[in-house]
Amino acid sequence: MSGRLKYLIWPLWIAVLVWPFTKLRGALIVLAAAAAGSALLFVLRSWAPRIALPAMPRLASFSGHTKTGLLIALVLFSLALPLCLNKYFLDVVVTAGIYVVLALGLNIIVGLAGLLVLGYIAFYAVGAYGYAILSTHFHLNFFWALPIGALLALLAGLLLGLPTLRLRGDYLAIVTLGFGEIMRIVLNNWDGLTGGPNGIMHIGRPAIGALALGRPTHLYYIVLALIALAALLTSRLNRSRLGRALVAMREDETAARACGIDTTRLKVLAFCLSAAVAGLMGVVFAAKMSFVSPESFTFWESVMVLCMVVLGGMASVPGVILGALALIVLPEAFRGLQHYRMLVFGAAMIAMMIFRPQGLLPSRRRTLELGE
Amino acid sequence: MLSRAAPAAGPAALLSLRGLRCGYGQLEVLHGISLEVRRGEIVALLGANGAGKTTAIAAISGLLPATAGAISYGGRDITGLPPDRIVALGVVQVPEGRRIFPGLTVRENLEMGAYLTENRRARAAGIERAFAMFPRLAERRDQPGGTLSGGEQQMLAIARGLMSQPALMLLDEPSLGLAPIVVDAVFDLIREIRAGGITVVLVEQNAQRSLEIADRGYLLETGAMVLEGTGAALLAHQRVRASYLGA
Ligand SMILES: Nc1ncnc2c1ncn2[C@@H]1O[C@H](COP(=O)(O)OP(=O)(O)OP(=O)(O)O)[C@@H](O)[C@H]1O
Ligand SMILES: [Mg+2]
Repeated sequence: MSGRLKYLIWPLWIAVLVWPFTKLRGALIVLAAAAAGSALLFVLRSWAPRIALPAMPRLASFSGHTKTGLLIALVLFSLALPLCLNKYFLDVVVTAGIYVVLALGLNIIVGLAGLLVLGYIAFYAVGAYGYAILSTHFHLNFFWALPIGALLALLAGLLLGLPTLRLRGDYLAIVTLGFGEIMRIVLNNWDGLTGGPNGIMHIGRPAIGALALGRPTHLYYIVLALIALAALLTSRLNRSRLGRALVAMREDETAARACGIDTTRLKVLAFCLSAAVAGLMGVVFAAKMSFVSPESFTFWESVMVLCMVVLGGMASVPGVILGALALIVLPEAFRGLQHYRMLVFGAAMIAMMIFRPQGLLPSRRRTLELGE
Repeated sequence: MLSRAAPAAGPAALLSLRGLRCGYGQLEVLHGISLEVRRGEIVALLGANGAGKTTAIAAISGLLPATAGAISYGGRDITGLPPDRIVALGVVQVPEGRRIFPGLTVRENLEMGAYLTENRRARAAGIERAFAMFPRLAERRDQPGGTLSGGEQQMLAIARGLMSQPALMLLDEPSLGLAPIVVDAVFDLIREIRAGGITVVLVEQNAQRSLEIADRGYLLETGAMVLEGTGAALLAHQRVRASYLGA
């Protein structure tokens, strides 16, 4: 959308959207508020472009010292967080943490390799049900289940990716969308194994020998460790030769193949890595809830994770983390607006697409690709 | 210095296409073309827009499957091999339209050209050699490829192709859209590449310039080879003069 027009159209559009829910008076109030916000944004942007939105910090622009300082502060803050949160908020934070890792995982295939995956949550389900079944039938320890869940999801990714990824990229979106739905239907109907709609209960919580680690605080630290691991791995991947080959493939697949890059293999690899991360987090989710049912693995969940990746800034690790936190914590904080949550969410996504399509904290390369 | 040892002797031709047919889906673009490239030659492939030059290059590099006919390189049948195997054998293409990777730096672009070189040291040494050969790229080593000028991007595309240490380089319209002075530089570079022992197939719209440096040339029209001859003979040929040299 060009120039100034978007500042005008956006408030109008939001107002029309909320009209059915809020009656005319409410819609007018929303219109006034959005218009005021839009006007403010416009003034800021045209009068002081340096302090306005486009100048939001890009992490790469900080100096090494500032970055180290920020990182240390962040680590200390994360370590101390459980001390100052009540049980409810700690639970929200743990959930958010699971989504952070999921988003980092999906980012590998979507952000780095540039392939759209629509049924990502199915791999999460593979891990969750894998652990649920292994735990209730064979009392498999949580910590053993972590790699096993990842491996199961990886195998599912391999089965799905090998035939699909030889074809053009777009097919992956459709096939994974189908896989997500099939997974949900199977979980709902294979009563003998998955308990059907009732799901599986009494899943083992994390423990090492006699030492139980199932309290929210323990889960918090487990998830925190996994976030650190995932962030470390993906930022290393970002900076590795393999990561650069993924970027090359995303930017120009033909040129990449002409360089001798086996793009099919790269895609399968990226897809399997993404799937494995989801499987891993599925195990954590099952252990946290000690209960799984098909309701937790709907298409909506896949869309949420995808939005986190897009919102935060594809291919950028801090961006994806920020996106995930924003999408989990903010709606939770505005629980009073329960019914309008999804509406606000959708409006925010669209506003993002209009005003900042590269995401909140975009990666340097993405910004270049969008020709900013 | 630039090339690997070309595949050991055998038939005189380094590359040969025999009755090659291929196309996109139902659409056949090349209707059985034949072509021969001898070791150390520059061979020009001429033809109007849409004649199928890029298609032929894509078929040779394994990006597009042949529906009939055969491609052999160094006496070995390479029809149907995947592109990475063909690059590994020493055939590399520099695609039409300077398709460098815009978000990767100059250095990273070159690194991708050496993707099949497993040894990190060898890769780094190759990149340094490329920088020695292209000082302008060396000055811009950490600049994203997308921010280079058109001429610099074309140099980068060629340098990236050289990174795989090819024995045969397929250049698809390297002078397209460049200022005359840069075109000169590109043609000088092609001579230099051949002097370094690399055989060159040159696809060009600029028939005059390419036939001047080519040993031999082919004329492709709507998917069929219509003429073949030495560069000088083609330059003098009535058909070429009429359609491609505006004489
Ligand atoms: N990806 C594609 N899908 C379908 N048709 C294609 C595709 N690429 C090329 N063609 C068609 O194949 C024919 C030959 O195209 P090609 O690109 O090989 O021509 P060219 O000789 O390289 O032309 P130019 O000088 O313009 O680059 C054209 O008619 C074109 O429309
Ligand atoms: Mg062409």
